[in-house]
Amino acid sequence: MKIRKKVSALLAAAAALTFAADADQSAAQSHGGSLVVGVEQDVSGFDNFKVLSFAHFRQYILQAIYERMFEVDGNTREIHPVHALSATPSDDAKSWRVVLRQGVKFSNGEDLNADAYVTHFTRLLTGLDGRFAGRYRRLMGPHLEGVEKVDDYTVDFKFAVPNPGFKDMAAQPNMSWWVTAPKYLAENQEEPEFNENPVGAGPYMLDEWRDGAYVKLVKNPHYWNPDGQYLDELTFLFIPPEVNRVNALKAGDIDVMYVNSRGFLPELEEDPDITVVSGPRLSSGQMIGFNHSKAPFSDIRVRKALIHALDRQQVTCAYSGICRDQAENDMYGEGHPWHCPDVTWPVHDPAKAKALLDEYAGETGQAVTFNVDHFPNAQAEKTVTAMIDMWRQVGISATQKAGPRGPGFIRPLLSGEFDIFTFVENFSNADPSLVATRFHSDHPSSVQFHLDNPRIDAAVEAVNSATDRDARYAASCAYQQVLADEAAFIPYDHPRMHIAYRNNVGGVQQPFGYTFNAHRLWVTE
Amino acid sequence: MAMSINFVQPWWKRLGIVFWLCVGWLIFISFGALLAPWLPLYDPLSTNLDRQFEPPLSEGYLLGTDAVGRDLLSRAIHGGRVSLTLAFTAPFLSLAVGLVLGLSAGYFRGRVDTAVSVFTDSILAFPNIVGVMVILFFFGATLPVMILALAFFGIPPEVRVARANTILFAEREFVLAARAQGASSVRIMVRELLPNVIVPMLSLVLFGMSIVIIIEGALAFLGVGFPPPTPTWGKMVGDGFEEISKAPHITFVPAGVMFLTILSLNMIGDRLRALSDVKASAV
Repeated sequence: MKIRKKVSALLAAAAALTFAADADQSAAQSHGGSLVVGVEQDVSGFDNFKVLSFAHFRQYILQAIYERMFEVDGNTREIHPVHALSATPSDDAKSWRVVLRQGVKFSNGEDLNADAYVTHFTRLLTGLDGRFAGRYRRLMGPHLEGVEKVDDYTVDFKFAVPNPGFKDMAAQPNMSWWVTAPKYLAENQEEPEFNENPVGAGPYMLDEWRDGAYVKLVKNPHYWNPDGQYLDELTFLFIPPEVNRVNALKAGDIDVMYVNSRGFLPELEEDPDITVVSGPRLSSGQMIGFNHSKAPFSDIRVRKALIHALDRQQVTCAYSGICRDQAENDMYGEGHPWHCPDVTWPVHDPAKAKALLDEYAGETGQAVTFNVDHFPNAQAEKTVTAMIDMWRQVGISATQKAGPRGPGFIRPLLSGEFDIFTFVENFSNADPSLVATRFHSDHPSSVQFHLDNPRIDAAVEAVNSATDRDARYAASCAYQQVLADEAAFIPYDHPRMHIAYRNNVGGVQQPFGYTFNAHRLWVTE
Repeated sequence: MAMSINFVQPWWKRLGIVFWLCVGWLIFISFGALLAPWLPLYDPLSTNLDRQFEPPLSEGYLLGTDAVGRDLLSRAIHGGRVSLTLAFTAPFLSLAVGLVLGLSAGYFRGRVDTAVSVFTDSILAFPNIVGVMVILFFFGATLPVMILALAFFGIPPEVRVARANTILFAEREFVLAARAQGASSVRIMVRELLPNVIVPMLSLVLFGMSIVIIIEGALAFLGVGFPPPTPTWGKMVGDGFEEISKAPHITFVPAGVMFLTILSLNMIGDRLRALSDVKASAV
């Protein structure tokens, strides 16, 4: 026990030094004032069981209220302890022991301790008869079995399979890590207004949520690190069309925003009052997936022909509205630590596409025709339009259909009644196990595309069984190449994270994943 | 302000230069849409990703290109095929049904009038754009479905105008004379009332055509119109909105075509209404 206390003290000192070092680097840090962040939609609430969206704009708001165990420094890519001091894996990486910081309190004064974590994760895995267990298991890593208390400030995360990337995942914001005050939870979770009144241990707490308009946060009086509470008020203003957010930023009506559409970047970069920083985002990019269970996509020649027919670089331009990023070949963006630059996909070669299609048609007597179901947004529509035009040039007849707005867009995928479905690989790629597992034939998401490919399964298993970092990287890149060789789907773009802010905003880090830490920012006059 | 017509001038001069400019625009855009497949235009679906966001008067692209390099001139003309097909069908269907119901209600009165009024009030009580959205959701956004949906929600105004005018004329001497001579109700409605009722309804049809184009645009903007890549004016406006700050022409080209068409329809309708208006025509 003594040793652990000493280790905890050392880690706490290291954390304090880290924050102090950050403070040194940013001499212009200032306290007070208010910051307004423009986001695209309302949050629809704060309870994990009531909110159905993982959308990252929600995460920016909720992490200010809840904070989490670790955070990634976007500039150094180092993981900093926040609510936790350390996370140490067992030899087989099936268990991670997390030592929690002492003295962390929720905004209602309750302690954030091991009991709070156990209560929280037990609720996620078993609450509402386990309805959401699968969802949170996916977010927290492969097959989380449970969280067990070791002592008041130590918990063990137990996994059914090795999970060497746990700490990387724990450092990324997602809904799993946001712990609610346990006593408050027990007393209020059945109340109808529970979803509207979060109690977290983050630097800010909810002051006002005006439905459809804004969320206003103020300082949490019990926050463990008052020096890190720079703002008096942090407001998230809901401004749905991005063009309006851009105009609001240029006019000074908001101070900071993340930029989804790269088409806006040139005008923001030209504005002398605005700075833009960019970095890799933690999702595996834009792709279109084939329904492998039905003809013609069950035939690898057709899948390859469809990829050969596409100029994927041009598709990326169509998607982003601006030709400034390379079409992606793997599930990690350039600059990401797991990026595999040597993965090669079937290249743009219309003649080869035609030859493969002719071969298929000669053998089966079937012409290749299909429909592409896609997201109900302009970007997806433009991209699919461009793809269909490229396919048309090699003699393929295809139609496109935008899904309904809202969660219903995914209905064709869930029902299996689709030919091709566009999707955003939104699963975090903080660690290869998360990406790889997704396409194993045992994984529910794999079933959606009816992937049942022994080569892919073997590659996934190789990724998950490698524990050493170099071995994992090699296995991960080999897996990416298998996906390309099997023409499993078509990747075309890896969205990067762009943050645009007015020059009076301080503390903005280079994005890495979803590290848009609005709650770490400050404003100067 | 009511328009007045000077009946001393020849009929074509009486309508004024603006009227003929509007007619000219409608003829131009209608023939353009009709003959679009045979005109020397780019394929409206063909993308050119090397020429995204070209502004108007760019080389090879008179009105510029959109976000995927499609020719806006070609798309605006082809887009007219859908928008004008709707405009030239749905309001006339509404007119046909509205005439039958309005004439019947105004002539027979009593229970028929009550039944027709309940029917029209029920339709009016439902927001038409929401109603059209629901219909498109369940039956699919195809041209026939959209025509029928728009026609259905266009019926009440036609019924009301037809009914009001029928009541107005039903007690006039020529109708009473026909009735005294033993003419059947159908004959009275068709031969005596219809010619008098139809004139004000035609100007309403022109107004209905404008409304239909606007509703198509609104539906496309809301993402429930025709599926891509079919060009319609409303869809083109919606497509351009995302890019409005850097390429406003993508929105303004189809919006301009829509504007001129709707303005023309309204101006022509207003002029025809003035012709049929006893006070305004200074008879």
